[in-house]
Amino acid sequence: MRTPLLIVVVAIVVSSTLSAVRCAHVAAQADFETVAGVVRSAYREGDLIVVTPFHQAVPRSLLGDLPLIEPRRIEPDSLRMHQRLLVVAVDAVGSARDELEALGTVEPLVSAGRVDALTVVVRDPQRPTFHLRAGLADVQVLASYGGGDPVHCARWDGSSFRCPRDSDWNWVGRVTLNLEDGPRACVWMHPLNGGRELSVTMPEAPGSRLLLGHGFVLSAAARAPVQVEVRRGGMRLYAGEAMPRSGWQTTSIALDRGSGPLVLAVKTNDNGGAHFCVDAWVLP
Amino acid sequence: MGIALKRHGRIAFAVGFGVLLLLLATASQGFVRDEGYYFRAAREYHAWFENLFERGLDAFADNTLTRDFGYNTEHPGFVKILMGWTWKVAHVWLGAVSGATGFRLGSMVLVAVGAAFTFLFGARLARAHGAIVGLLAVAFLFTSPHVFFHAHLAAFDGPIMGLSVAATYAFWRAASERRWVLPALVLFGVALATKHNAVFLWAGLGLAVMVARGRDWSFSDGKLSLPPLPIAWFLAPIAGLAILYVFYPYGWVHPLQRIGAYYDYHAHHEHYPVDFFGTMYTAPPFPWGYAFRMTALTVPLVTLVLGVMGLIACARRAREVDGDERLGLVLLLVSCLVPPLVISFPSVPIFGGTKHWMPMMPFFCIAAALALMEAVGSIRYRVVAPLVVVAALVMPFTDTIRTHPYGHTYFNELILGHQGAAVLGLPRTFWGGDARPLLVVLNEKAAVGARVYTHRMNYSDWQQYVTDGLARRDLVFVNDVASADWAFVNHQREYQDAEYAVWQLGATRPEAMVAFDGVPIVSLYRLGRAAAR
Repeated sequence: MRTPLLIVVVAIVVSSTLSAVRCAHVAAQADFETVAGVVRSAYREGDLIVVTPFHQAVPRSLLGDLPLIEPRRIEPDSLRMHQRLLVVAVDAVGSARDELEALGTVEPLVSAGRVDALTVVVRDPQRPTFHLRAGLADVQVLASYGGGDPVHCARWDGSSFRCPRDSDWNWVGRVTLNLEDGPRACVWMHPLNGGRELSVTMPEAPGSRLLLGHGFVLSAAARAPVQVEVRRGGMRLYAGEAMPRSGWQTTSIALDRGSGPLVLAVKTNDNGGAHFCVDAWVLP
Repeated sequence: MGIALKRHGRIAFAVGFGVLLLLLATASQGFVRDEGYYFRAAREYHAWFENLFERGLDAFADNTLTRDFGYNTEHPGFVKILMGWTWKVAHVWLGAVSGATGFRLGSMVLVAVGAAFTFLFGARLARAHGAIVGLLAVAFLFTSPHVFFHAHLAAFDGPIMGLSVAATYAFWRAASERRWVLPALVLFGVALATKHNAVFLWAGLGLAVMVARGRDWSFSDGKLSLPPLPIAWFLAPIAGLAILYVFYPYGWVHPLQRIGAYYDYHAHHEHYPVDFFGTMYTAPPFPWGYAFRMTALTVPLVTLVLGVMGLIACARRAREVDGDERLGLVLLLVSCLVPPLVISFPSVPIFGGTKHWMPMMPFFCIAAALALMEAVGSIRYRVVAPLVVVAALVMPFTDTIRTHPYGHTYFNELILGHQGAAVLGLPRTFWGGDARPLLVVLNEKAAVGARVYTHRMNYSDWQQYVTDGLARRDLVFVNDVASADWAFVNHQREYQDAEYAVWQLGATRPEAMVAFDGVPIVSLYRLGRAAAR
């Protein structure tokens, strides 16, 4: 057989084979429905439904009224805040089922075609004693405009605090933003201009560490880094820089010094485009 | 030869007509974002013709021209004027098609012309195989899901693809036959009056001649002697600008200022976000070779392999032959490589998926057809050859059918289609035209007077859906998701915020969606106010 003909035949065979592989990774709607029915019955308050791989949307169309996420990457710290995960694992390209199973004890729930549901009872669950986004109504927000004491951003409209100046941007509130790694439910905290400090004072909560997350919005990467600081009782527990690129970064901070309420502060030398959001969990 | 050429002419006509019928029969795509603008432009431009006799000389006054042709001046008028006429004839007068298809018909006609010339180019280049190469080239072209999708739209990408191959063919003939000079000039002019990237077509034609006649280059006594360029190439800018002027009525009174502004707009085009292998590019430098890499992932695998084989074979053969055949081969190579090469420079805006370098596709498919016929030529048993040809078309054909009318979302077997593309962080969709089938759900379930946030679908598209009876008249288009009862969300990562805004409003479970292999393309949400009713 001449080489060009051989290449053509190989291309036809490879194309057909890969198409068969593609089809083999497609789950049927009926299977999704079977699994969704069982998951809905098994769901109880406090559970989190996790769909993998992230691009499979049918589970959301069937179970989206319950707490459900489709993470692009598995974040064990975040998932360990739940005692039990209900995992809907589709045998599709990019599945992270193994990573989810590694979080705890696995029990199969139901299996239908290419869709499996399993419960993962999380090993060493970490229930936060305070979660910034959930407990936002209980924080104090201060803006330093220079030349005097910081002022309160006191106007609470049910989901956010508005600061006295430039309040279209300078507010602190619950949002779900488009970050590089997908949707992120977090707290909008756009830094003030002129290098001034915007801070959130959290209510006192017992804990040994603070899990701090922050990131910039995908469509509006900042021009300059944002300085992030965590203080307690006048002592600096953490100081770091969030670099001006999209994506969510987390840091674990030991709460081994100082006393009193925790203060999370942000500032930057150039706040143009700094669509910045944060979240924080105080963990036992 | 003469008889064969006449026969090819008849086949080309049949191919063009067949493609036109095929496109008309399958024009079920949603109205993409820019089509809304072009629908409106076509209607407004057509009004000038409707009032021409009534207005007399006033029709040529600057204020009249500005009023009737002053919308969407960033593109020349030819295709929009043609769309206006096809809409008038096929929809208004004959009532044979819907309003949108009436507009689209103008664009489809030019794609069909391109199909005919793709056949002619292939058949002439592969004289040994006769018409079969031309036919196969057309088959490969319209079994490329991205091409098949764009071939239907009331936009400029299908027409410029068609006119590029038509002008290139005519230019090839004009290099040796005087009677083809005028057609070459007219076709180039019409291409220039269709889309600005015809400028690169002219540059490519010149480059191809210089390369094809490379043996005529000489350097002696300190003087460089260049090969002669065909007369058509020299006359093309003059004829092209004249035809562009005719079809740019907005610039009739102030041509330098307004046509200059049109080109200036494209020279300084804004950059749109592009999602490519997990990185969202919002400004230069864009990744090198973007167009080549996207082509490698969006052309069906068999066509891709055959096309690359064909290009290599053409390059080899071009070194061995001379004259007309050599020029044809080099024209094919240059026409195939220049469009993606232009887009592949890091400073060039790369929005719009694959459509901006689609003029390469007829030539790539001719190369694929040549390679296939060369390959099956070595088969000893004559009955097997047709089976291999058919087998080569099966997967491209199947994938085109499978993804219709969402061919612009297609990714090939190499990355396992939509799922693989999602995992690799490649653009899932663009242009906001995917929601059409979800209008059925909306029409059925929405309350009277419900407000609809349409995301990437613009108001002109919405109006056309209403006009064509695809969306209910009582539904209200709104720009703000917070005031909506229903919301569409196109799953483009750069605009995904809209879905999260919907979630913020308490709607976290889509009512319906369009998905491929489970990967969502567009979702429809019922928001809290509507859900509470």
